[in-house]
Amino acid sequence: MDIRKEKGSNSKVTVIGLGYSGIKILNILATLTQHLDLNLVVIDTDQHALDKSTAPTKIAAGLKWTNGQGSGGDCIKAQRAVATVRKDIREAIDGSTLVIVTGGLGGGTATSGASIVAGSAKDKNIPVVNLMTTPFAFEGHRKRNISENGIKDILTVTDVLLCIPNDLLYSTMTSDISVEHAFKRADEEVARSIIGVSETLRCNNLLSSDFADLKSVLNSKHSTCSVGVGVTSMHEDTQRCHIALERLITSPLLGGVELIKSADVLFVSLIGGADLEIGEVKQTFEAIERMTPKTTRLIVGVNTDSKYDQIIQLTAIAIKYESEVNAEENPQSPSKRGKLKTKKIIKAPMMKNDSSGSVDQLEFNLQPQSRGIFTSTDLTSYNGDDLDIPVFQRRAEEIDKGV
Amino acid sequence: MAFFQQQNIITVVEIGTSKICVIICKLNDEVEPSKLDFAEKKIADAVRKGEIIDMDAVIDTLSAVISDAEEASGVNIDNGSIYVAVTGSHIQSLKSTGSVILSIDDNIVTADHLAEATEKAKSQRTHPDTTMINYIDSYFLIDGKRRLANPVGQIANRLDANGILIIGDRNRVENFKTPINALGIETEVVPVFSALASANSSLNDDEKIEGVLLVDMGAGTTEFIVIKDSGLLHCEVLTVGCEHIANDLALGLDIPFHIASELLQSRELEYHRQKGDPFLEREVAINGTKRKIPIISIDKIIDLRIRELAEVIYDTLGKSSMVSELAMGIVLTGGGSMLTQTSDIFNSVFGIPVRIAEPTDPTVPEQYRTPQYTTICGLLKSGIMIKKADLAVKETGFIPRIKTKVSKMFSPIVSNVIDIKESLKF
Repeated sequence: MDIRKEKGSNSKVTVIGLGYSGIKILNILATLTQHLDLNLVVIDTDQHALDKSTAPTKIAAGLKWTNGQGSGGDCIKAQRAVATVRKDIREAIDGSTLVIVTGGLGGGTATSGASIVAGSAKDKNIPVVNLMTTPFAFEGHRKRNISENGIKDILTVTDVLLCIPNDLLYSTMTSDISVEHAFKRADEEVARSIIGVSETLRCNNLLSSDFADLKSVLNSKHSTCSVGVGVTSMHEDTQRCHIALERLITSPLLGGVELIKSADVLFVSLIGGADLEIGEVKQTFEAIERMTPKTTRLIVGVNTDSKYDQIIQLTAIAIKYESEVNAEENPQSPSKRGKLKTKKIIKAPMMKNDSSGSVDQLEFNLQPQSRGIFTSTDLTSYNGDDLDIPVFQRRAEEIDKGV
Repeated sequence: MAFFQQQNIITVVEIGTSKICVIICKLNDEVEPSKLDFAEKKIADAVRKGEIIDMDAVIDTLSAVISDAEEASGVNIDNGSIYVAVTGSHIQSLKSTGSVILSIDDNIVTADHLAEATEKAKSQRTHPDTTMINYIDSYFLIDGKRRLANPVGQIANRLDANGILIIGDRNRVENFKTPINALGIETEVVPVFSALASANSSLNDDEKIEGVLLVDMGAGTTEFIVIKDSGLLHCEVLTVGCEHIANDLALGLDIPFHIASELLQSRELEYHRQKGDPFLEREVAINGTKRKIPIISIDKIIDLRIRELAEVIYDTLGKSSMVSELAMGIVLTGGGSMLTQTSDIFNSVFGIPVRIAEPTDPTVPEQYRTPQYTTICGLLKSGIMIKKADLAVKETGFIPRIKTKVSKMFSPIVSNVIDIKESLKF
């Protein structure tokens, strides 16, 4: 599983795009410069979508099942379809040192196909990273549900699952940007993230932060994460590290500086060419260290690769556990109750940011709270919680109301 | 004849959040139940969280239920003893001690000394707004050192009676008696804390001695008590019950409360769950609109609520490190225990075995042997127990020594008729 064994000359990263969203991401990925080493594969159930792809390897899945017209969001249909091309998938990933699976969750092909692709890679003992986007909130409950079910399936087979909520795009975009542009931007950022992640894991030689690190921090708890990449190329300035950092922070899928500050784990990797100076490395990491509160676990890595001459690429993966770090440290709460002891998410940013001194925007709890039939009864409270309010409302759990 | 009748009829009343239930019990000459007549009626929106919010509705329903029971049994309950189950968040337990100093000349402990010490323990001063509901004997201490269940005949200088007082808000306890008295029934109504009643009918002897947590999850409240060595270690009432689950479902799934409540009680949910259906179809509005409600959402809401309840109990007991005392695990009863998930959730939160209890007395008719009737059946048992002690005093004029197999270690010590009504044992 350790990819360092095979790093260097013959390392080969395969990126598999699933569904229409995967195709779009890979199209953009192909236009970005560092794709040279990447083996791009697209899989879809829709023949027309495949035609638009520029990827060298195209796998049309289960045309019999779908008549080449896509799965129409039907997960079972898509799962059968993708399962029929397992052999092709195995061939496509053969000899890879890392497989990155990407696509937009919430549809059919990507949601149910991702676990099949990840499973195939696992059979071959190739490390797998799933980098999936989750749907915009405005895409509705159904899509969210489908994507959550998909995540459950993927988690069982993949090594690393990075879920990037499309909603994070709002954090750096203004509301007057067109939808078309927003979706395109989302794909573009995912493509950049793929480069960031793959390069982080591929060339790994100096200060180590590798696949195992990422795997261990993600596996320990339920978490949400965001990925950001900042690249500076050529001789833009002597301050190129600062520019890279600035671009990293404004990278839309990272969710802005607030998210960095409130992250439980921050995984930062710096890749540069032979000309990378130790002073620059120090400057960059010091800046990041200053930005994060003391409670954040910072994992940093530095790599050099000959392809990165004159270029600095800074990749950050901010991981936020669903339950607070504090809950873990409290010896009174037994671990078996860990997840349910989660304090309200709404409180988290407040507490974490006390040290930074700046006022941060709170997450809105969009669930209204109500006591129903207990509206005019005596208060029943325990540890400050009003027990008459439904538990799911207090813990901001999503409930599918059905149709 | 009238006197004879009075000796032999016990009426027990439970004014619950979801139902009012009455048992009229005829006793034979050995003061054992010979005939039980049940009557019950569902009630809605009149009792909330175990406390009466609509007195008129309760009186109307109670009147109907008592008439039904009287008709079935053919007796008038005026001529008997009446016991009512009380509950509510105001109920608490207090440890109390009463001491007697024995004279130097005659320092042999007699039954009178026990009675005096017990009396002192019972009259421990509490807040003026509270009233004593029940008193539970624990043990006696001789000279502050030796712990005995029955110290009669021992030589001692000082005798301490240790017991537990169940106290509650005076007016709120009175509220449970009011609807019975409002029906023109003049017999004194004796309150019994409903958790004690449940314990009487649901726990076996081993459990009472080895240590057990009893959780009675009713519609409006959840009572939980810890019993070990036949003594009470902890009791508490949480005003969270099945109505909270129904309310959560109503709010979470956008369905009316009564439908949520009905859904929770019906077997339909379990049927669909077994079949593996993803949805449950339900008419939710008067115009007959059908909704498809995902079973997974229903399960999630129920799971979250029961798990939180179990965690609150775990937390409360954890503070006094009582969880390790529960050698026999947890006994669940009440309507909430009939939900499929309940026992699994308690098991996963506490990590100890869980059993669901229902009334087991052979005299209880088959259809009432479900967890919902644990309290009322236990209330009858408590009533009979008090009655037995009561009669023993009347007949002998002396303090009774009721010794059953269970009470060998902790026999109830009673001094006079009035106090008997407040003395309970396990």
